[in-house]
Amino acid sequence: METSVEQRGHVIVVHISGSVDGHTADDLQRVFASEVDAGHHALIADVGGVDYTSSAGLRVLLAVLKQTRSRGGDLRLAAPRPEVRKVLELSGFTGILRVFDTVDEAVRSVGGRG
Amino acid sequence: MSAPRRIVRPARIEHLPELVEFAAQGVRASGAEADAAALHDIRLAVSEVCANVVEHGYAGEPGGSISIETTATTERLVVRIEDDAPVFDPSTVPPPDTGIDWKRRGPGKMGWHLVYSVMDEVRHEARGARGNVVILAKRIGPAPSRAPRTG
Repeated sequence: METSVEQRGHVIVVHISGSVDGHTADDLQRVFASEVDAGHHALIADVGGVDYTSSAGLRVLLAVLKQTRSRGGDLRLAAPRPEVRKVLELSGFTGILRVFDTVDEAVRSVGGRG
Repeated sequence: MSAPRRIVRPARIEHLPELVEFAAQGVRASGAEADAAALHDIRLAVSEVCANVVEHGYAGEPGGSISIETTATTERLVVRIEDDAPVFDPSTVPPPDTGIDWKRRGPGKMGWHLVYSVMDEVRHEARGARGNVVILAKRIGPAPSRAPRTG
């Protein structure tokens, strides 16, 4: 798994690629935690490059979702591949977090520059 | 049917990528056309099962191992995952409540729910007091064409 962080105004986009699983989820947690700790609470997870996410990745997303919303922000997802979207649906995550087809749409949804 | 392929690795999380890719390569070994959706589901399920073995099965106990064996036809891949951890039957795990709101949503129970959801067949066999075999099967080829009607 690889990640890169991009700031667009007050919005942070975390670009994620590769496999998010029991081997890599802790690294992803650290990336998000450092943004939340820095006071960034409008976060977009660009999962367009994610091959698969296991339950370990979903647990990270749920934890970050709770952290950001408890601080008045949000975590939103962008650009999942069909297989990843299916996993989000199977786990009920499409009912608890907002998913957008593109990064730009997700950024604009939280008032950032798309 | 392709000859069985087998790999054995220490039950440590750093071996997860190798175990997952070994299982996925079973599709290629079968000569089947790689179906992106099926490959995704196989990687996801094998990752979940192996991570569970490491984190909950052996639960930090050193010296354990995981073996993966794949057999395939051009239509179906079977992945057999074995360990020597205490017996655990995954069919006893209740599914998560996916309908509740984010505040009450807990982090657990999702792994096996995903495994059962994305695979065509999931079976567990115990080998005495210790030792588990999880057998996963997935259709990997094109859907069978309907036989022409006769008469």
